[in-house]
Amino acid sequence: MISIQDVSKRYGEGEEAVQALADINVGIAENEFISIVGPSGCGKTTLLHLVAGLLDPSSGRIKVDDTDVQSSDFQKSSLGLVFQHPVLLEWRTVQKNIMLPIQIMQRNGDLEEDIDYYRQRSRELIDLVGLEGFENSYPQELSGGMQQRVSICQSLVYDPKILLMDEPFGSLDALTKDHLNEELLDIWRETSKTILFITHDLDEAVFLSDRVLVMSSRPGKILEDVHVDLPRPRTSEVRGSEAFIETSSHLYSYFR
Amino acid sequence: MSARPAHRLRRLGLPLVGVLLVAGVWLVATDVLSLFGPTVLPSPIKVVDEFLRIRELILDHVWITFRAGLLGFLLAIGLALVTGMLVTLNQRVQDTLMPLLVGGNTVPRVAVAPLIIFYIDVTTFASLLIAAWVAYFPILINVIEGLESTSKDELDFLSVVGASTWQEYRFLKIPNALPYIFDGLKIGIITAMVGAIVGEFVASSEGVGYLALLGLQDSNVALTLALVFLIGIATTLIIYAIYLLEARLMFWQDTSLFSE
Repeated sequence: MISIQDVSKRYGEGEEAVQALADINVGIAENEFISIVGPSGCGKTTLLHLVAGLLDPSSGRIKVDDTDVQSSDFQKSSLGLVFQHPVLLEWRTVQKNIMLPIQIMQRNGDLEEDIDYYRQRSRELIDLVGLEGFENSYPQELSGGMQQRVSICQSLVYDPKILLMDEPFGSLDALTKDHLNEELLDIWRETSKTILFITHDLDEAVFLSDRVLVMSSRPGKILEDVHVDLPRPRTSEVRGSEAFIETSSHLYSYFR
Repeated sequence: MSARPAHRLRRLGLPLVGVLLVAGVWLVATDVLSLFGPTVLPSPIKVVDEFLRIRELILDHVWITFRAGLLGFLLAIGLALVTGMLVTLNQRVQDTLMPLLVGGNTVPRVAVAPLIIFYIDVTTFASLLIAAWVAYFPILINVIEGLESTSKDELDFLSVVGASTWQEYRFLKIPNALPYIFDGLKIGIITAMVGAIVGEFVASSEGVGYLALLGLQDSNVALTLALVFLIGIATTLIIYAIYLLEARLMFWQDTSLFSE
């Protein structure tokens, strides 16, 4: 579904150029949950922004279903991006923030269904993440965890096939984070998305993913593609299992 | 804005006490202690008397200045919004023009007043243009700063969902700029009134600037003081309206005068 071929990314020119990413090759199948881990500054976010089409690769190509993400044929609505800090407009209610992408895409003719379908969908998503009763609240009235739930809804409302997540739970406390991890797996199962997830929390990566990509820094390269062999559906009990501990200590060995 | 009586009292009552206090000190210093001669500082009662004596004449001239200042202010807002949008559309245009605009905001802009009067023969219109000219820069600088104050994440988010440039402005940049723009308006209205009066100082046969000078030439300080107070009150009313509009438009912020 997503194919990243020989991608490298340089910033700047001449002697001052910084090689952010080198020779990245990744194939991601439909409905897979992939995490990327690596030290800070290893180019994880750059890679995600390349897939999102926010940056152009210096060389190589990135395709989604055989369409180049840079090309004008690429459907914006097939891709959603969740940021580390929720991007919510403080003058819009929860409901209206969630509907913002719909409002934009509708005018640009990027939607397949009519507006009522998406209104209904936004209500379902609000229920799914447990925000009923907060539809008319403003973002600043919500806790950090609730805000991040809203921003996940915002990226799911137009039903993208691919969800890109850039350390979405990185700034939350451990309990909220564990809770949202389980919620995310529920959402993933119910909506069958392909998810590319960045984190620096190795346990979180193991808990969520089918595969974990370990990256090195400067230039960012993929050191290993670790398959996580844990049964699904996963609940927090899985964290105590032998396979979990084994996989996670294997990952830790890279960062010692 | 559901002010409880205690709040309302504090909001309207205490400022009124301040005004009465100053008027009281003034009255004592002039009428009771006779610290100043009537040609230097007449008593407040004298000022009110003078206003009542020729109130129609005074109000006519205040109205002329008020109108020139307000229309100049509105013209400045329109120009600042349009140029602010255009300048922020393109980084290269912005880099080229920004030093000029910041410079224009820094120099004493009223120095240009004689030049404007030299080019524009109709003096009331010249006052309006001077008002617009001096109010334009502080508003523009704030418009630009406000439009530029969005975060990279916000812009990236809109870009991912395919927003057009106009949609970036409509959904993000303009609402996000409102607090900055309102700060600009509060400075702009004051400078606009200064501009209008300076225009009348330089060359005019009407308006507060003209009549205030005439009052001093006639040793009628009471007339000049009455004019100063009236144009001050009129300007305060506009600022008050700006704060009200700000509270209405930016309901999600509670930094304004009117929030509870």
